[in-house]
Amino acid sequence: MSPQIPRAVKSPRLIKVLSLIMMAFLFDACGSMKTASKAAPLKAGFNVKKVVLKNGLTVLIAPNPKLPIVSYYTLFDVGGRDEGPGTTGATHFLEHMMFKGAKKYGPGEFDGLLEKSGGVTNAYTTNDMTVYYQNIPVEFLDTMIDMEADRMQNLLLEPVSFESERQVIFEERKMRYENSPDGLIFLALMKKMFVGTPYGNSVIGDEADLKALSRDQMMVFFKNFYVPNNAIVAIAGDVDPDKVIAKIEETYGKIPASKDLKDLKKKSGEEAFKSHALLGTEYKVYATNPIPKFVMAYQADKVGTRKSYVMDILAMILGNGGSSYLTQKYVKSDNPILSEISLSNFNLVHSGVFYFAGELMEGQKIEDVKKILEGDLKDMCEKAISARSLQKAKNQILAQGYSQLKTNAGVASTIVRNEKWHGDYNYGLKEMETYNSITESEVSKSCKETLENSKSIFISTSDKYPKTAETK
Amino acid sequence: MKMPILVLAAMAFSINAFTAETKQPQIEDSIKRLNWNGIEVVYIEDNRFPTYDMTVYFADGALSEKKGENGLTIHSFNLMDSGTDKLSQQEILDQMEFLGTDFNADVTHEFTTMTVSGLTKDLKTSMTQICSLMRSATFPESTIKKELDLERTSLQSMVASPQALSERVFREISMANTPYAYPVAGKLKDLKDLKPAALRARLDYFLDKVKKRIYITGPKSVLSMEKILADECHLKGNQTDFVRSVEKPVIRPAKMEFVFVPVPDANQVQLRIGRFLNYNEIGDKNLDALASDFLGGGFTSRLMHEVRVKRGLTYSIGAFISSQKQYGRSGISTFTKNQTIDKLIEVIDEAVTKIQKEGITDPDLDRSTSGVVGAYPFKFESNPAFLGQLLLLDHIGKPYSDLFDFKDAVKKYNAKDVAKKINDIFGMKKQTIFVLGDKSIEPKLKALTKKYGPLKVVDYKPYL
Repeated sequence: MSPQIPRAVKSPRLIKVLSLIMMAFLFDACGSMKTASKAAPLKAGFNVKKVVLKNGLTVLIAPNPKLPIVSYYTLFDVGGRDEGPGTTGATHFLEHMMFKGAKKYGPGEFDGLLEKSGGVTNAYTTNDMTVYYQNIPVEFLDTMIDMEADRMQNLLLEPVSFESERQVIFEERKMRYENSPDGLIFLALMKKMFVGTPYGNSVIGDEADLKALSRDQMMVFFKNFYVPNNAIVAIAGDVDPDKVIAKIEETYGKIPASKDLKDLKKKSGEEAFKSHALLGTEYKVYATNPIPKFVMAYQADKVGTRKSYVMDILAMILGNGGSSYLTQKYVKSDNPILSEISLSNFNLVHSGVFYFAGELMEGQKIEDVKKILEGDLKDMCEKAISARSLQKAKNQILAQGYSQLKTNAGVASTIVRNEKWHGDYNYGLKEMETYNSITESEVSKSCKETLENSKSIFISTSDKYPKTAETK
Repeated sequence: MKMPILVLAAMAFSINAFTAETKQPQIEDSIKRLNWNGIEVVYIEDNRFPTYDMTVYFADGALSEKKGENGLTIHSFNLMDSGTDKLSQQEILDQMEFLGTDFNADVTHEFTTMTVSGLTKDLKTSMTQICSLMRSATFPESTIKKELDLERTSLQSMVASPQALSERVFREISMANTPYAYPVAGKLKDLKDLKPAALRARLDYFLDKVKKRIYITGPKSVLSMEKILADECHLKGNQTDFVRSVEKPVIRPAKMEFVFVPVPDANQVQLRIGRFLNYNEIGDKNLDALASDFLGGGFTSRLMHEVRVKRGLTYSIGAFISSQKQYGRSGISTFTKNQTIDKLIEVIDEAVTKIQKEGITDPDLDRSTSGVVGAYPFKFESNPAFLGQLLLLDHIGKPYSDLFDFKDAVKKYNAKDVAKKINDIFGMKKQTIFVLGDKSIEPKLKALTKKYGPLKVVDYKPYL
């Protein structure tokens, strides 16, 4: 067994890759038609049994008998966005504590039993959600269901491990932000772009908040959000859906729904997420990278809008792969000014950001590169978008999508997210139709709206900058 | 019950193969061995997706590079897409990406692999293009220069990635005085020596002189690749094809070293503890897997328990024992805050020493044994990963049955065997203790020299 990378906070790039999963299974459906049962309609999507328990817990079961293994995903609709002033990092800290013991399965037992079975477990927290997952042998599934139900209802938040885990999180924070120029620049991007909104907080948390966070505060947070009517469970693998659902009803079914959840959610309504970013501003942030890095970011749509899909395609056309427009122009040209560049369309549940990220070639100056980039924006859309580049982007989406669905974990993570974001585990079918219907002129129009007619924020990092962040 | 869309019309292997009544042939039967133009082909049929994965194994790696050729092998494969007489790099990349075809190469000291994956509907076009690159890449000087400039920038930026820098410097230091120490991709100073003619000659050597084996997974239609590989790639096997081996495997006596690599402004310290494993220490992969899992695999391993769970000293810690045909490596990898580096080394030392002095108990071992056995089916979930394991077994000359006998083989080891293995491999007196961090932690490390020997302070730059 290779060393496990514990408890991750998901990076924006990963989110982008994962978002591509959603569209992939349509192709799977098409591709399987030749070999699958003729009774399977093209638009059936995944074979999933869905039930909603009386307490509001949504359960999705996707059988796959290939091997006696199972992937088990639990999504809670709570993330960094749900934290208030002074409690940044609470969601992520709670994620760590979820592995530290509950009433029936005490400290050490969750990991101990799971790893003894041959399973692996991990979790991640984003701005919008918290996801726990396990890959386990099927024999362990009943115990796994029991353990998950136990910690959803009876978390201990045991004081000794609460303190030791706080220290662990400080080290994680350093690893992900302070000692990682990429992590640091992304943190700065989120803080500046979403200043004054719940998305402007650090998901791992500010150091002062982490130091001050109390066990009582966390328990309130846990009771508010770790409730069945705020969760979705997805299980993919070698299972009989009816038997699994019976076991889930027997265990999770006893957990009462929260009556307060609706009111808590109202507090974080759409208005709270309206960006107040100081567009047109440049920021310089000290980091340990000797060669400057930068992001140039624009406001973008929330997840699920038609424009969000158009911008996905645009990001692929401009920045995905060695033949993409940006890589050819700035990295592989005869006089390269950048050693790398990428483009991301990061759609959150309530908002979004579309951003260039790059690293300079040695000897280049950040001021010069910024000027060149901004100058090129005027005709970038015209030059980059064509029928061929549009089709290439769609093909790349298809190829990337397949690889994501080759494991149970890929299937479970796809259906649980689709169910949460769109209320339909099979929403990828609709998304694929959307992607396929996007035209060259539509991409061109959105490109011009964003790159030619909108303002951006520009953030760079370097070890030559003063150690206090500076606003220009 | 609805019919599954993700139906496994022709599963690679049966569920029954993994139950108590395991019948090895059920798994073995899913592996087809073919002979294409004198080259052995290993094929696993997989009809779930209209995609394919194909890997060509070459029985030589960076070890045969002569003086002035460091990094030549990996660059000859990685820069294959830099241009031909007919196509520029931009045109090549555009065509490959348009088809959604992925191509990459990996070079170790002992062997080389080249992998292509893509959609079956475009297999003919993609593979024909790959063959064209293999045979007609000209490595245009101007393109090569640009690519190597990018590589220089990337290496120079590595100081900002303490984990990556640690892996690179630690690997070379802990394997010093062996043929395996030098990075397969070469160093900054080697990049200037990579010239078009040398790259082309190196690629031709691999294509024409080195023994090859091919590993494929996908629907049956991918077997049409045979004709393309013969007619377009001109790949064929000969009895005289070269197989890399070191005639007299190197023996590197294990000794304790204490090394510090200062980097500017680091508020976290990287720690690696490990060593080179001689060929006579690497025989038993199953015991290696069990011992490294017990010591540093997962959240319930001995080290994770002592270092993170009990003391909150780190976010993650792991241990590994890995090997190829004639050498291996072992290591413990972790990090901590500047203030606690001495404590971290001390706790790891105590944990390993305790195993040496007191052994481990059967219930303790049971966690690892059950764990690695329970995790066994995951080795097969992805066919490309499964093929990768078969490739490694072929490389080291072990039968595939080693893979299928894994569960029984692991169960035969007792606590004494595992404790002995941990002591043999990870005993602190044999290790390179490697610390990378801010200059300010040096006094803390010097305070440990009585126990770990003189502290050697090393500049990271010559390792780039």
